[in-house]
Amino acid sequence: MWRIFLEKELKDSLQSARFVVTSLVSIALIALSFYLGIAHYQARLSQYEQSQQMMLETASQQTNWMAASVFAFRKPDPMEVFVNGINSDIGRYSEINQMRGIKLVRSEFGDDPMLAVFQFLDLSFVVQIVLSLMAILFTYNAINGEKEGGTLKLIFANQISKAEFILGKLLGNWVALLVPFIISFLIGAMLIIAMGVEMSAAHWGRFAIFAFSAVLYFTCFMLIGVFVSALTKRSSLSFLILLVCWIVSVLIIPKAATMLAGQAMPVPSADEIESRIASFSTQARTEFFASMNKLFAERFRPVEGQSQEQRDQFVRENQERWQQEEKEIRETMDKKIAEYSARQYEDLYNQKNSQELLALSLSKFSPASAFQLVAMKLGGTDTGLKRRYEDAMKDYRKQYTNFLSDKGGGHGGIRLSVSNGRGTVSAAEPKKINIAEMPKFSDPVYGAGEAINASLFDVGLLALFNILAFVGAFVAFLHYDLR
Amino acid sequence: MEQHATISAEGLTKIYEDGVCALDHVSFAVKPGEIFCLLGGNGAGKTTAINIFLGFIPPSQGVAKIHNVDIHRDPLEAKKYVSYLSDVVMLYPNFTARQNLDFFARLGGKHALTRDDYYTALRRVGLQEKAFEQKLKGFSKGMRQKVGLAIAIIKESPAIILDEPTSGLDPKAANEFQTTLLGLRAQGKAILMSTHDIFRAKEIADTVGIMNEGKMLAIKSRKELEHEDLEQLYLNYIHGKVAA
Repeated sequence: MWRIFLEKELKDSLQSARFVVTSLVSIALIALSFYLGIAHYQARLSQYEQSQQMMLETASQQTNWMAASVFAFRKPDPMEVFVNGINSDIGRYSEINQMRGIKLVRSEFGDDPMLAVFQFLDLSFVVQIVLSLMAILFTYNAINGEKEGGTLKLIFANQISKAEFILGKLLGNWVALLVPFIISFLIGAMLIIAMGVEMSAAHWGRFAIFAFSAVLYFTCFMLIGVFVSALTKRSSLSFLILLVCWIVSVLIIPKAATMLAGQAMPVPSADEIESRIASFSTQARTEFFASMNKLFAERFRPVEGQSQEQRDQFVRENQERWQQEEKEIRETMDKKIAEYSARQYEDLYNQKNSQELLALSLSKFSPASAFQLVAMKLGGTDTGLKRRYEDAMKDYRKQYTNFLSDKGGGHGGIRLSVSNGRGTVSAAEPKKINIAEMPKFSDPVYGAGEAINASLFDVGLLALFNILAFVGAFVAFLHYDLR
Repeated sequence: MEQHATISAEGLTKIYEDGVCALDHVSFAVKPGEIFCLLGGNGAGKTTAINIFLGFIPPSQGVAKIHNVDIHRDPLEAKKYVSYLSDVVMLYPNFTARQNLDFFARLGGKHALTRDDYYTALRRVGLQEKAFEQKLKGFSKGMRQKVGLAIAIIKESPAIILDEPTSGLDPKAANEFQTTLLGLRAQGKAILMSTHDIFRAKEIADTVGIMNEGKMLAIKSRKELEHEDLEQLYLNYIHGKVAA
């Protein structure tokens, strides 16, 4: 019997203007998000290749390894087509040198603030907003609409059980929603192939799981729609309730979770940390100079009242020891500052991680956040992206520093010219550095296995939301007054 | 030989959770080929009785049977033998008349009907041919009521329950509706119809049950009503001028 309802729901949806309009809008938006994602990825890839080429060309003109500016660039990943995540928030590259630490600079949002204001229309955004709204539009009157139209009584005047009806209803609505989803994703997949995005089998696998998660996501809203429809008598009321649920889930919870986590676990700003370190350094240096003054006074106490010659002799005898002593004291001070600085940054890192974990845990009460997290983890554009790159760049910096040391501090050769009155005598032309010798930066590996493992919990959470909403809809309808 | 009733109520009582007594020991029977009109104003208990017969609410006391099956004990079996038409027949506006009929026919267990079968049923209720394949969203209430009646007919059940079927219909549509109903009676269907239209009840009913405040005040046959003014009789019962 449920098949009759499934067929009816499908036929009813396909023939309704509501379905046609919302489906066309969804298909157009999803296809557009695919196109924009591909165009954005290709532009980033081209920029990446050009930047790398320019760096190598500039470096190849140098004769001194120390003078060569080396950068490590973040290579765009095809998964960015589907989910931009924090990709545009973090810098595109970092300079690699012995003096400075790793710092990713020149983010897309920094370069183009308008993009930061209006955000990126990627697939995960469209799924999160459009498909969830579509699911609500399809189901807000699934049960109470039948009652308002008088068809519920007509249906149950037949040999129909409530279980058969609700199963057929849910399946029918689900299949109807699946139709535009499958069409739009097929169009997207064709665009990917047609526009030449190089997707490996692992990428396609991650995309398939992304699509599965999107299905779980809109199914959840569809089930919530039927659930609320089975709890209310009027479709106008259920629509209002569902709209509030949608706003809370999609817009409020993710932002509120971040704010609550910020309140519950305040984290000092980077400026505050730097200020603390500067203050500590100043104090350490003041103490250092005070101790040095004291030391100088003590050193010359034995020769007080003696002649200048005796004093000079005393200095000459002790100078080496004193230098060593001063060096040790200075090193102790530097070490103390470095340790304090490292501790501060580690604390900041740990506090930020705890705050982030709390924010993510709180936001998981919303299916929209759970889906966003799945999408970002599958796409590799989650909050771990920056850390993965920074770690890889730190490794590369070590590798590059060792390489420079091997090159004898980086001197590729200098040219000496001496004038002897009868002309100029020049040393041999200095050799240019061979950039082929330079170690190459390898992007961090974020494989399909890692992506799937990382997203598994949130996929499970989405499944749990589905189960709860299904049970809710089912039980609510079993108690529904058919009159 | 006495015919068995297709629709019967024995001491049917319904007291809601808030203590309101919507039906108070109501008994009646509808035999094959009989139109039984439940006549009463708003709140008389007509719709409550129908809701019990359709299994939407359980009775507090008494038994409601369709084709001798207790609807409360075995609702799915009892519903095999009944068709229903309500006063609000919106149906599915995106479906054509034929598609609506097809859906409800299949729910009623008719899986092998052809397009011609649907057309025959729609012709029988007087729907214009050109409307058969038109979506219901443009239909008038009368046209939708005709499709609703076709749905009730196509199930070919021995019992038909109609809840205020002519309310809101124009005289022509109501007249056409009445003609179809008489045809069904001639076929031997037991028809239970609730109405507050005294004139329609007198014209069509074989038996009229006058209800007020959940009580069945009187049951009058066509023969008994032949020489009586039903309207006056109804008002007398309602105002307690005649002992129930």
